[in-house]
Amino acid sequence: MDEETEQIDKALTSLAAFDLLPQKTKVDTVSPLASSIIGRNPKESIAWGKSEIIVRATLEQVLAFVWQIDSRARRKSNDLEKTMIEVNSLHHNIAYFCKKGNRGGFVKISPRDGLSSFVWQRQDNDTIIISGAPTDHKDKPVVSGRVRGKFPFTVKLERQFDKCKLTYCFSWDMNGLIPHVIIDHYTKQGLQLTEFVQQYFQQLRPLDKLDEQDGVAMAEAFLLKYSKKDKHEI
Amino acid sequence: MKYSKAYIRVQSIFSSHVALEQFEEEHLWFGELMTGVVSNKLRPAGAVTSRLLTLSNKEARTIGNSLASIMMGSTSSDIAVEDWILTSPAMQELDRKLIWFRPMMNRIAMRLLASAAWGANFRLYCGAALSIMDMVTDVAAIYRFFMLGNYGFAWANIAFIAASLLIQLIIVLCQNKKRGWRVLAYEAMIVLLMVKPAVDARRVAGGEDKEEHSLLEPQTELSFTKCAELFAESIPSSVLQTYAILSDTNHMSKQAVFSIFISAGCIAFASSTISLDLDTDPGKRNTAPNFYVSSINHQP
Repeated sequence: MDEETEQIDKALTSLAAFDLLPQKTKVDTVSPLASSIIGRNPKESIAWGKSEIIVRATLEQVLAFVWQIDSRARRKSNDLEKTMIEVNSLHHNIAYFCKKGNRGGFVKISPRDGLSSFVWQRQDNDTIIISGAPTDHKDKPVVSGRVRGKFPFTVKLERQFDKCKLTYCFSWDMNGLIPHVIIDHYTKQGLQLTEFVQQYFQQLRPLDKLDEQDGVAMAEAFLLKYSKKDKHEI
Repeated sequence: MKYSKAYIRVQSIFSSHVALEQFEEEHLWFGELMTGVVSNKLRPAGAVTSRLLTLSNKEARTIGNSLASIMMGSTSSDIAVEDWILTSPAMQELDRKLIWFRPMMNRIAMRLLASAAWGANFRLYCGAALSIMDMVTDVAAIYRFFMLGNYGFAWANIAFIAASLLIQLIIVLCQNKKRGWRVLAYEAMIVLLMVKPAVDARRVAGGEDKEEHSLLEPQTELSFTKCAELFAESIPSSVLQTYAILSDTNHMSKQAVFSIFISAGCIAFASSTISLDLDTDPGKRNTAPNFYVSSINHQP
């Protein structure tokens, strides 16, 4: 229990530390509803990312969506593996995930995997913190061909009447000499989680509940850039 | 069968959004309407007088297609959507019935307007090009006055340009005084280099929001700059140059006539766009509908 509280405290400290980073750049997001920033300490190889968005769902619904990392809705094309290794309690588990690398083209990147201890805690009636911290586990040792990375993250959920403000902050240490441009590219991709959550819940809104803000959010969906899949279909 | 990008996007959004799918089940023409809107291609717009209940797919597509041509004549997306809704009784009904329809259309129009190369962008950049050309031809006119020994005319023309720049500098000072001296210096430099019309046009066309600590919206700043230029420089300068030509017909040159022609074009363009924007502003139409609706053909 102390260990979990300590992890949450560290998560809150890292969230506050993001604002003190000397280098911060605003990122062009796929959906203009999100506000994302990449931060860096010039002397470190670690990249930080922070993204904020308003989600049309309750605090508990968003918590469930973020917590269930192995759900079908959270599956992505660049996932190689996503497994729950150990469930300690309803608010603490250990998960393993591995992302595809890049074999084609000029830059070769091996698959990156990570082992994280996930904890969530309700701070008060209107705030929930979810923390992911790098950890070790005997069932998932470091293997050749997969580079073990550290991906600590913090998610802060704040209730705003019938909506929820989602703040996602994480740092990457990709464990290797990788240029900033590439780390930033992956950081930007990682930050899209907030947009993904917003779109997921927006798509579930029923007709009789729609209001002006839904109109704006749906308009943005109509005008998102065409993906490779869209272009392939045309 | 090959479908358009817009059709695939609309169908994909409808199938993923529960609310839109529900609405399309009730109103089969909605997909056609949105495909026409999202495709954003300039096509001849036909008048559709059908009510919502009797609207056909073809008519819905015609209405959707007409948004692009309406946007071509507007600088603001909200104005374009207002016009678009007013031209069709079915859209007026839809606007009254659905609380989310107008905000959705406003946002779609805003994004389309910012990305389209024609229409508002074309209008803004034309206006900016005319303003800069006006400045250049005035400088050439001053040089010609000095060459001909008309020092009074030359100094008067310099005074007009200086007055225009001074007013623009005052606007910049009011707009940016709380944004720090670096921003203020940068904005002042834009005025002194005489590229403010182009920079303002780029900001409005790009859909930029009001900056933190600034006083005016980019659109309002553009209108203020245009007015300053119009009354301090274009109008007095064209009157002066016309007087100079008429008082000395022996030295009438093509360059002088061209300069007057550009000034007149600049005055006509700026004044007509300002009055059109005022006339089609949704807020003003709400407060005084009998006064601000002269340029729109209302359907019964």
